[in-house]
Amino acid sequence: MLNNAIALLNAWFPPTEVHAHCDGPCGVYDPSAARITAEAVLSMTKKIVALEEPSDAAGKVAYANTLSRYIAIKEEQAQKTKDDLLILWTDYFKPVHLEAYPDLHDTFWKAAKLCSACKVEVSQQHAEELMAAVEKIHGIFWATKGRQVAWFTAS
Amino acid sequence: MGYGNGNDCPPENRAISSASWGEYAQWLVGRRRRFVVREDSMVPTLRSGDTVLAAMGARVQLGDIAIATHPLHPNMLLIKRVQDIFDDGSVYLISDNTHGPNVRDSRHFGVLTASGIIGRVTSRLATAT
Repeated sequence: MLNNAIALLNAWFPPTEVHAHCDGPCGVYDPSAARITAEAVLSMTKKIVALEEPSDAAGKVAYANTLSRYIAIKEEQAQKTKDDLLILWTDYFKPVHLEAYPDLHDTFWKAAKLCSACKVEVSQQHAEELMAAVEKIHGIFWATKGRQVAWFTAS
Repeated sequence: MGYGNGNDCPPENRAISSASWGEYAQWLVGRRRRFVVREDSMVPTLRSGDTVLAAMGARVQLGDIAIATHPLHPNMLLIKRVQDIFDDGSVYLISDNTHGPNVRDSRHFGVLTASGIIGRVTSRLATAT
């Protein structure tokens, strides 16, 4: 009976929808995903560089654990950035875009290379270059849609 | 993200309890909000069409099911499992059905800021018919 009452209630007053989100071939592209993950790469790189190794045994264990986690996050987010950029490059951009942006392939190729470099190395310079590359792609992407979307970062 | 804390929620701990009379009371006095689940990334815990109650503004802990604002689509609300909470309060959300096709969560859109978490699921009100 209670279930029936709730079913009636849901019919009369529909609840707010929450999505256990799945993504179909919806044609929705957004370089924001690459921006977020590239920011994570830069953040993790800075944290790795700033991490100081303590001298005591307990501190060393905590240090090793933290460093390992930072590295794992950096590497995953770098790979994710690469994946997101490759999806944009191969799925969104079309030959007509290449005519308007002749350096499109070079831009993506270098950006993907930077993802690999950031994954393998601990280089703040390369992480910042990756952010710059994603910003450039952001500009091109929204220009192809005829929209002005300001570049911003979360941190 | 979400590595190595040992906080991956084992399947036996994922079950969500049915609404108790206390939960109904909380709902009646406005301390719970009703949501209907869409899509299947939280299967088997929640299926599309299930209705849940959530405490809005409540803090979430590891393993909780959170109601959150999608970081890339602000008008879309998400329902996901909290897998990790970082020192700065940001939250890593994961699906229960991680191997489903086209499932999307923090593995794809990254961590959410604490302000992106708007509620904690407290019970299941009704299952999909």
